[in-house]
Amino acid sequence: MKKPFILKIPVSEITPQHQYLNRRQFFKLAATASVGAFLTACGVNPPIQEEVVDSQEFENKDILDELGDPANTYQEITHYNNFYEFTMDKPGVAVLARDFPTSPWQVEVGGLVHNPRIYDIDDLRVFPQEERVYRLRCVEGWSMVIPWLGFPLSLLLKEVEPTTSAKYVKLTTIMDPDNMPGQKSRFYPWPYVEGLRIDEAMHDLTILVTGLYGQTLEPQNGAPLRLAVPWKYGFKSGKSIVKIELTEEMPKTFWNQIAPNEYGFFANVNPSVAHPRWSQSTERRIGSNTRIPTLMFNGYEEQVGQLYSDLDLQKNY
Amino acid sequence: MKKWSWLHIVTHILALIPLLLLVIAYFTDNLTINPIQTATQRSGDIAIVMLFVSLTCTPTHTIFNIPVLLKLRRPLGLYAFFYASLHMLTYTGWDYGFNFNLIASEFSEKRYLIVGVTALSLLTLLALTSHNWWKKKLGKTWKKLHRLVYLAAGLVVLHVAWAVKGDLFTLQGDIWKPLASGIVLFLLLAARIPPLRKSLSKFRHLRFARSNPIQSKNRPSQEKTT
Repeated sequence: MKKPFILKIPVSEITPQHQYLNRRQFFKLAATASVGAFLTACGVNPPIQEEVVDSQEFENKDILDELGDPANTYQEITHYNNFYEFTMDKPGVAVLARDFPTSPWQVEVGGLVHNPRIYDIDDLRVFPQEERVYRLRCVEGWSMVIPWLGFPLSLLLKEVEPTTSAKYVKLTTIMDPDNMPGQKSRFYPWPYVEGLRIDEAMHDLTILVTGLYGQTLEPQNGAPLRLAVPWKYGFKSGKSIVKIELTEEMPKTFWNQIAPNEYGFFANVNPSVAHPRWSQSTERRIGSNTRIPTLMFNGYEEQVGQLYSDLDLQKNY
Repeated sequence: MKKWSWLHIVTHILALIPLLLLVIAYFTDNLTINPIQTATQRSGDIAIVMLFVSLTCTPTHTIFNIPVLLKLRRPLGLYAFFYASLHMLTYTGWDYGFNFNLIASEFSEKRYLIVGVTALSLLTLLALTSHNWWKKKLGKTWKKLHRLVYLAAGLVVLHVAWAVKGDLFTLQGDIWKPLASGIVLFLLLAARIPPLRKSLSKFRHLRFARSNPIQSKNRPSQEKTT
């Protein structure tokens, strides 16, 4: 197996240091220990002053993914969200999610494992957090480049030790209609459930995300814990996860239940499998008005292609 | 020469406000960070509202006997056509940059686009023949031809139903828009079925008086029944 792609260079090294620090000043840095540790590790003391976040100006053309595409701005990533638990209105999610309580937060990891355990969110922040600049391709035909902060799901799974009969990983989003008004809608089979085959879940590209742009994840992006599977359409990456279960049966996932002919279990980004609504052969990068070709497995074919070598991707879309 | 009533003026102003808001939103960066998608959806929404409002004139007149409303059907229908064209232009021009290879492949594989473009073709035909000159020339055929608007409206509902993330038949997903527009269209069309129309017109007698008997006498009878 080929060594999977890992972004080994943190944002701080790609970005000229002075610019990085300028951006940092916008943040209330004291917030997270991880960021503090991150900066300290770089031999920089976190700035003490707490300046008001002016995320409009927070952008950096020097953060690139491995294809050389620049990251989207913090404003774009935090103000254009598909998070139907709050609202179907993408810019409205940030507003409704503002006061969403993400602490205390526990994640139950169980099912077909030898060491089931309930993790406090802080226990999960102990896993070594790394920066990964991933492309996110929404099934709706738009995409972003996002510098996530997180750790491979495989690290967590190895700790709970899946049994030999575990074939799938099921991830469940919190059910909290009091704080998530969208969950009051009866048109949806809440709570949101997503799933991966175990080899997909163990793949190094699959990460659990705790942060964005080096700071703690915002609720609209799925705080305090979300998944990022960059070679699949965005809806596979469940947000605000409270339960991770290993199962023998393929989990019944949210969109697959609603419209199985449109949203397959695998949902790998695949320009050759058409969707009844959106173009899957092209996409628009947020911030640009021109269409670009969509890449097989969202450009991660080299890393994940072998997972599907004996699968008919036209049928298993 | 056509006389411009205050009602016409108000109608034109109201019908142009959504365009103004769209233009303002564009220039003030208020179309979200995905302006193409937002503009496409908004122009489509406005077109549906215009089309449905134009279809509301006749049943409203049936119930309340306000013949002047019948005069608003044509401008409202033309506004529906205008916004639908804007919707189409946003998609083909702004989104796909008039790349006809890409557009053609999209149109060949997506059913919602096929019904959408069919509906717009019908509206185009009706818009082109909306002038009085055509009305005179076509005579009775004109009325029949313009009944195609009902088909166009039905296709529009189907277009929306297939364009949202959800399934109208299992009532799952993002379906409030097709559901609401489907119900509204059903009521608007039902009010035109002769027996129902007759019973609705009985409400007129419950009202204090005929608002303007002279005007309604002068109206050609075909306009009332369309």
